[in-house]
Amino acid sequence: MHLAALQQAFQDRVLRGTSEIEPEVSQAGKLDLHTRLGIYENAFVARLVEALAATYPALRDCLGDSEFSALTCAYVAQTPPSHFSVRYFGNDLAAFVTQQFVGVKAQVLNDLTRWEWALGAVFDAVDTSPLAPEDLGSIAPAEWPALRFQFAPALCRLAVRSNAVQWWRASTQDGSRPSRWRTARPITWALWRSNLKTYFRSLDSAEAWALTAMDDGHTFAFLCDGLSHQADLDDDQHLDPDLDQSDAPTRAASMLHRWLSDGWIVRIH
Amino acid sequence: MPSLGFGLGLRTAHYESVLNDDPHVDWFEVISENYLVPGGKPLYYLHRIRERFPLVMHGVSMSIGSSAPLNMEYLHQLRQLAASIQPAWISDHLCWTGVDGVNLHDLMPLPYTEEALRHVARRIRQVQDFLGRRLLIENVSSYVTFSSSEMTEWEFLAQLTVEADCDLLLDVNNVYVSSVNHGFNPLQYIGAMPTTRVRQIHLAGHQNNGDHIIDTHDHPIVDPVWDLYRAACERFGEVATMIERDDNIPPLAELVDELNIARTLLNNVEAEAA
Repeated sequence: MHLAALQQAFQDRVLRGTSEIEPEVSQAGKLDLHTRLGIYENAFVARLVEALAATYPALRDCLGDSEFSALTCAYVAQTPPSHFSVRYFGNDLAAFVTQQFVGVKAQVLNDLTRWEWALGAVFDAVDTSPLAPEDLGSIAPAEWPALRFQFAPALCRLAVRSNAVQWWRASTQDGSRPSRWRTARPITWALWRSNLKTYFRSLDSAEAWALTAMDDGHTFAFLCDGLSHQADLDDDQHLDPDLDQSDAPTRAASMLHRWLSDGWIVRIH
Repeated sequence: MPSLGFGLGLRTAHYESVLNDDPHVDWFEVISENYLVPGGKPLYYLHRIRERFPLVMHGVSMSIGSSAPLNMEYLHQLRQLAASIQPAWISDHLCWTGVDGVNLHDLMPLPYTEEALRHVARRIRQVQDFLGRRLLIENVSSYVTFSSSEMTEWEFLAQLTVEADCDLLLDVNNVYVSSVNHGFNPLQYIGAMPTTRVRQIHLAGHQNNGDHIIDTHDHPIVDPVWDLYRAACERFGEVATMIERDDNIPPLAELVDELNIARTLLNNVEAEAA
């Protein structure tokens, strides 16, 4: 058997348990052929399950070792890794979780998986130099309406529709463990990195809309206008009903100041 | 070229100790793939540690023995990282890690055939040309051999250094592990390695299951591996030596103590030869 065929047969054994490689394996020595090949088959699954456990510690904790192992072994079987770094192997687990569970539990586990993946993405996102609130001082008043903001790669927005964050806190920060899986009103969270530490906070609906709009490339004028015309927004973009429309410019400036203080903005143009 | 001395594998659990405790370690080996990330803490610590210690890059995903095409995206990122941290050298394994778009994330064994030798040598030369430096190729622990092999692993490696003009990273633990798993004399293996090509030595612990050994890097180094290391010191003299520990990772000081055993062993060999 030539090299390419041998490697394909060996890989097929590891991935699918096929037998074409068996005649190629030398039978000399104390160990039988199936034990020898089994070492590679077992190591393949074990290494990837271990990598997923490192990426998703709270998911593992919430499910327990047995259910997490069953889930991740099934994921390994369906999604053989292709990237050269095992760091990215869990990229599709959130979608897989949704296929494997039903109802409220599926929603919570999907949220939790996306949450932990986002934390990982924030952890090693591209380094940038954030602007500070003082950097606004050099901007002429006439320039403000047309200003656009570029956000740091280490800032991530995540919509959560369940009590997944409570589950995550219970697992990683000694918070109280929820009594049940529960869906909830959608909340947008911001997760970001500053000085190598990862932070997160929930956004009210106005700030979530504003951040999305600005990240989509809209101007500061659009932000102020949007905050003062919440009724024009579609059903998915209801702003805070308590927001006084005359406060919109102040609110926009306040948001901008906080975004700068949190190190979210890397460029204003 | 003088030896780098005695090093350890850089692990995240030791970042702060490496920077703050002034460990008696001459250099560190980093797993290349762990730092092929956009930014954040891994690269921050890598650069801070590089300011104080020589580094070498050790990869697990080059898949130099695969029949699939070389992953140029991987090689570009590897070259970029090397330009950034200026490692003393770059190493990877005599193995393949997947075909057909799959990465098994394991070090899969090769058949030791003339076909494989030509194939691997050609690819090593390609990578060396791309990276602009000579590679160190490491022997892996293995659990199967192939009936199609036309030579021993040590004959294959020795010939590979000639065909590919590459250097060797001799993993003494892997020689021992494979010698038990396949029933060969590890001293014969050590004795067949070309003395001018061995630039680095790996030491590690393993899991002994009685009738076979798994290369786990989760235990201290055992006496038979120390004995083989002594034989390697006698054959190769002073070669950059490091300990790999990937699981059950103890405090840095404990690994430094284990590294000192290697220092003493080399000193004893040199004293006896003097």
